[in-house]
Amino acid sequence: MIYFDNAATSFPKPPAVIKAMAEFMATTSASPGRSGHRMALEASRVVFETRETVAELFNVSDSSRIVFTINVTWALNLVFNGLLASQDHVVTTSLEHNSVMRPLTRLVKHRGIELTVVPAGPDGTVDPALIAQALTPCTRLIVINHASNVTGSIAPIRAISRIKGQALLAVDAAQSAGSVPIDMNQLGIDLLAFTGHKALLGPTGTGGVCLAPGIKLEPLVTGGTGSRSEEEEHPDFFPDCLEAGTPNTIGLAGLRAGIDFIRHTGQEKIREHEQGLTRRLMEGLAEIPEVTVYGPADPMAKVPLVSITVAGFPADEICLRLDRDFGVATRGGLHCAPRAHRTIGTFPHGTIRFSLGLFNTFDEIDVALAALRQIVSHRQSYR
Amino acid sequence: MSPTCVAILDSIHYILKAEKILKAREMPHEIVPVPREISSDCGMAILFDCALLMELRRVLSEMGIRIRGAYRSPGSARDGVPNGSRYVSLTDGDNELS
Repeated sequence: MIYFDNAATSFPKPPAVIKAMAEFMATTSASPGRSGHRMALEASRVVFETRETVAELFNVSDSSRIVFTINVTWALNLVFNGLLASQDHVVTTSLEHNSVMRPLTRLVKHRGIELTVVPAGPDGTVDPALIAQALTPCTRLIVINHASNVTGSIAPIRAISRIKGQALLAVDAAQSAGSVPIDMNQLGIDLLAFTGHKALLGPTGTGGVCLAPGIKLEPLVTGGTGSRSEEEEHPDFFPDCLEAGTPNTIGLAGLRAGIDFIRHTGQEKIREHEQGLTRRLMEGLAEIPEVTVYGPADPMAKVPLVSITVAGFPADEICLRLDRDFGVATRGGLHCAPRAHRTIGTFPHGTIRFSLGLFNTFDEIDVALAALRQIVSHRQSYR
Repeated sequence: MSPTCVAILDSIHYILKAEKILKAREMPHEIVPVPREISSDCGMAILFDCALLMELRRVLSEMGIRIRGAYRSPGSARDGVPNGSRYVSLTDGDNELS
């Protein structure tokens, strides 16, 4: 199979990720931070070292302020529920995924927050001036998708952090972390939510949020932490204050190996390869008259994903034919981001998304393009 | 040998952070379960030579790590095992350590 669904979950994983997880399961799979024996201590080291590794990747000065969750959705829910109070104003964009829109919509209804959704351009670009215009004295939080999972467009985070005023800036790095270098300090990000199973090359069930110094959140869950066991109140120090229950230690072992692989390979090298693939795909798609490509025209302005529609074909039919007849895995539909599709004019049918990854090759791009040309040119025989 | 001391930190994260720092500085120490005479906490503690107390405090403080409590055992460690049932608190927290 040619796998072009890396924006959903990356595949394959580096062998080192599989090895780390298998070794953990075989040798170390005790409870971290609980019992006092050596195996539990080794499990604790896995969690600790993963936190340190994430801290180095995103330039977080204090790794204790990295809170692990099971994915970016959970991390974003923690941020919104843990930060926002009645009458707080939130500014976000029309490109956001349901992992942002749904929890915020719920807080509008149940907690009385106020929400402004700033429209992105039809190519999926966000204008910082429009964000600035939406700010009010009550704006507590700006929430921005670092890279859209529909258009691939990369938001101007630095420009937005410059105009944020007293508001905090939360960045949803689901699509960018691992694919685009992120320096939390340099970009002026207050809350960075990430997931492990996409471009960070880790397994599902991993993710988290990095908090800038001074920011406190109310926990989403409380319970056992292994610390202050004599007390029935949840501890107030990081990272325990926002974590509870036995963590996904085996997943974190894999996530650490995934990030190590990225750092060993080099983020710039990865970016260069993925941009090359994206460029090849976009150039090929431009030669098929029936195809409309969405998002920025410049591969430099996006993560390695390309959304298209094909005149005369519903998205799901193209995806089915690519998969069944040519072994090319893509994702069709709304990609859990209905408002993003309204923004680019592809609602309600959605697009066909080719999301590329580090392990894809130029040959695979050529095979997929040939397959698409064949589907389009043999339209009659399919009908 | 100097008497044995035990330092309690907030959580396993800080214990391991401290371990990393102490290893880098080649300061002898052991990571051991928190002695039950000190706390019913199910976490870990740092066992070290009491002669290193002030240096340990300084090094950890530089890294922003809070010492929740430090205790002296009347005896020496036996092969890295905390010895004695009567630990004497050297502090109720970081403030009194200085």
